[in-house]
Amino acid sequence: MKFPKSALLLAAGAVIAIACDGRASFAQDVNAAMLANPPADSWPGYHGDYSGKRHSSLTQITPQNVKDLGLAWAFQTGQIAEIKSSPLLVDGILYFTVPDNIWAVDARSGHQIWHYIYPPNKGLHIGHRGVGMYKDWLYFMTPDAHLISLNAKDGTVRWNVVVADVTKGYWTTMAPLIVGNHVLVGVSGDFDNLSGFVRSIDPETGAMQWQWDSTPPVGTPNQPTGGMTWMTGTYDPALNLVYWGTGNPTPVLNGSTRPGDDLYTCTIVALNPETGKLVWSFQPSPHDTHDWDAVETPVLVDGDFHGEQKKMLMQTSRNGYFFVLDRTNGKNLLTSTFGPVNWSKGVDPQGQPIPNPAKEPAPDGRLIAPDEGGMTNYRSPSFDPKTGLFIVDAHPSYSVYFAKPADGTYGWAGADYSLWGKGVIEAIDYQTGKIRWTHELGPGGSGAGVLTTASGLAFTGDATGNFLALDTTDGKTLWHAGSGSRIQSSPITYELDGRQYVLTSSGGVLFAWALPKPI
Amino acid sequence: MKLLKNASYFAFGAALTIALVSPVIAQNVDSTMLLKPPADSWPSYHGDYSGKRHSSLTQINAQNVGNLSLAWAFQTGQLAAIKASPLLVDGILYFTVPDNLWAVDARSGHQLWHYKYPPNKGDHIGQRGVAIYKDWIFFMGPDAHMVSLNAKDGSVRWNIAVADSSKGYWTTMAPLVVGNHVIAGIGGDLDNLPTFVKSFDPETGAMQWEWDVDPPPGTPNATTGGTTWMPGTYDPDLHLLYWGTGNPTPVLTGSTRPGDNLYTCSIVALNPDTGKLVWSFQPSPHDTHDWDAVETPVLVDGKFHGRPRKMLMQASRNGYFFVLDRTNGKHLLTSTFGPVNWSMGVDKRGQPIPNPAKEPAPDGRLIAPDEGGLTNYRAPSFDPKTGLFLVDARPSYSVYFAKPADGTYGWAGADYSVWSKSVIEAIDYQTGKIRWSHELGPSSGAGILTTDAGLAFTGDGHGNLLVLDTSDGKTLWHAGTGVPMQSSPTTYELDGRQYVLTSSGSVLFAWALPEGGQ
Repeated sequence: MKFPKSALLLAAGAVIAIACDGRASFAQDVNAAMLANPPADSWPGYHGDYSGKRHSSLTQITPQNVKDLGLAWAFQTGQIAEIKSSPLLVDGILYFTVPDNIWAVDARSGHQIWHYIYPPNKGLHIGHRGVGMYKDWLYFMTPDAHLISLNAKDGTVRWNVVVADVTKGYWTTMAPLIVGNHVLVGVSGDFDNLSGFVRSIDPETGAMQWQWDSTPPVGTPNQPTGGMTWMTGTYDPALNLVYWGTGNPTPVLNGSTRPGDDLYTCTIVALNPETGKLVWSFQPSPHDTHDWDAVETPVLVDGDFHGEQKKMLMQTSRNGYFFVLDRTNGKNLLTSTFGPVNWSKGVDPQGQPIPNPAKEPAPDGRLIAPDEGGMTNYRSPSFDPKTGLFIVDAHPSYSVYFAKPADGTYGWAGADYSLWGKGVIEAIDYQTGKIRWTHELGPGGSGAGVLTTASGLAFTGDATGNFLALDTTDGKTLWHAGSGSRIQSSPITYELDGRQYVLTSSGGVLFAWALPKPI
Repeated sequence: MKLLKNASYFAFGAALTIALVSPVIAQNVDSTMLLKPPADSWPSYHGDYSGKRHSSLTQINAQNVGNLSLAWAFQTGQLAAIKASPLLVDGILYFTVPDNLWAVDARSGHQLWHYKYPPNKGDHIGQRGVAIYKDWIFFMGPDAHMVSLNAKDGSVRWNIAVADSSKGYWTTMAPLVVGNHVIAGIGGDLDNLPTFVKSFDPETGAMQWEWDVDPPPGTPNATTGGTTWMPGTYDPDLHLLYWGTGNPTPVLTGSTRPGDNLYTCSIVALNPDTGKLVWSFQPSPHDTHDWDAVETPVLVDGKFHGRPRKMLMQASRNGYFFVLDRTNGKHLLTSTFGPVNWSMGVDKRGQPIPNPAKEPAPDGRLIAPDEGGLTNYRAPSFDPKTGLFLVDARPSYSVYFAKPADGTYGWAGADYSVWSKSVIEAIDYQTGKIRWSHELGPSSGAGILTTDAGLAFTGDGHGNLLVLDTSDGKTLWHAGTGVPMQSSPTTYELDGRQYVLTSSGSVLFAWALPEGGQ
């Protein structure tokens, strides 16, 4: 047994050596076909595939053997910044980031291949969610709102274009989305009354192809600004539609200068990736006054809804609502809550919550659920097709929101204080919106996203820094390991040389988990 | 099966809770405990007084080590590399980087407290850990102070100066507790400083005695230097403390310090109650290559060429392996464990004879090993079953230059390492012959731990944690840790589960077999 196995490994090694040797025919070509159907030995986009389901078909690690999961390798950034990115995997190389830094790391060994450092800059260094990849090029966004294209082989810079003006208050943290020959990017910025946008950029030259603005031009009377576009969207190749979430309107906590719904802030939009034209929109938080971005992953699911085959879009939104939409037209199929929510007067005929004016921030304070960080946030949820469960790292929480009219109608325009919060994994039945199981994660909350696999496992993390493998059907813990720091990222998985790896991160360390190799 | 196992875990948990609140059951770190540390403790830098870094634990063995997994990790969130050996007492780990001390739950890796030493100008080159006596921790600051803290909460009881850091002293070491003595040495390289070992009262911090390495400052033709920066070992039966001393200063020129430069580059046996010298042995007489002889003086009882002996073994930075009779310092065996080209042989006491032609010269001299040495502070391990002394060796070559124009102060020359690699060498202590070698790639800084199960834990130059078969050096298991280890592994058993603790970069890793999976 032992000998033939070793021989096989050696043969596999020889093939790999050839592949790494520059024979392009063996190399993975990151093009439209590959991005639409990523092989098991790749993770070529932020969400893995275009659907945002974060569900893998890999089954080597199972509920039965996951207790034996061991650490294959760890990678230490040696930096203070927390890892919040999802690594990409192409041709056996992982690419991941913290603000101003990209690493290329061998996915088998965890050894560094190269490390790129962006020059010092004044952008906000709040976090970084990873890179995009197209052919042999990486796309990396910087704290000062530039987009850089680098050679994936060695990290050399091909071009560097300005996406937005950092001096006005913009910054960027997101992983670009590649659709066809479009590099799609969004922007961040909170404290100034700026307009958000989604922009398409030519992958070869960095030239702008189109731009979609989430708000009317700055200065339009009675109109909002804001609507930042700081999370990576999803894409349906069959419908040729890109789905993107937009952030809160500004001024943030005061809606007096922006009456009405404040379109297209706190909205899920469907855009044509060739033109940037809006096809439909759905607004989770009309006239938001609580900073509840609707940028959480718009998860694309094909399946049965109440007996009818549907192309759906699902979002657990920061405001505490879970939405199921028909993604062909944006029509609502289901609206529910996935934790304590006290700010609405119910749901309108379109399935959108109706904000309660009495729950807007007030000079004497208003107790609001959830808090400003929201019932969930940028961490990824996961959809498991077998159980029909939408699994999300939730944050039941309460905040007191104050209006401060003396502060004017600019920027934050008020104050809020979180009083209490905890972390729970909620497994939502998408057919009913009911919570099928709950797994407590501890006080404060966790920042870990969720990955499900076809073997019935859900990987995530708790509030005390433990990585968890849960049984997707009932939420029971099957395995855990302490990671020693806060988990602020979403797991990924891949298979190389017949071995399934689960990649997680916490603090400044990337951990690659796998089953023991047979001795 | 599963239910029963869970039930017994719960029962365990209840007992533990009691143990944590009732001081009657708590471990008392006194002379008795330090002499025979229980399996659920690691109460001093070397684990026990012998410096063997050999554990009797056998749950992790050659058959199941392939299933070794990570129980937990602890991230310091700091840039400094962990070089400390964590102590374990009452289920709490204590470990350090310069200016920082953490208390961490050994079962979960959760932080209990974190002490930060105030900003200071000492050299922050590294920190090797703390000592514990009763409920008190002893921690050394980069500015050559010793601090005593309450192990429960990290509050400071007292803080004393061990030496004057403004003169160029610093400290990095874990103090050694013997009886009611807290024994500490000193670091410092670039100034011509006298050095010493000092003993302090654990309760008050008052000095009990001082042993000076060098003649009094100002003595003509005498040496300075001989820093004492690594914790020694102790034989309770002979009541002798064994300590290594560092290189003489000026470092690369010996012109102002003719002769052997006692007691620099020496192994000394001291009376722990008085600090009086009982015997000495000098691995590097008249050193001109910065080869501290501070590497662990490992204490082994066993047969040597048929006769039972109380031995002391050292794999020294200068490339020599020594076996001494530790009752009197007489030498039993001297050999080399890698390329060594600087001596003219060995004298009748077993000490190498330095070759004057290999002293640093204005036109350069190619010397093996290099200045970092054939080994360094990382701990070796002695495995009683195989009789092997395992050491993380570093075959290397350097070019050494004399620079008379620079004077006879501080470094007083220059040296450049031209090549090196790392190998684990398994030395047969009866012959000095190398029984097996395990290549580690570029420079590793990992120490070694052996266990009664026949396993040797160490690290390679790429940051892999390795488990080797002690009998032949074959790799049984490995895991990448991201950064080469700069510390030595420890092991302990809690709640019937054996943990191996390693660190690299800013992360502490606790390894164990899967729960319920045996």
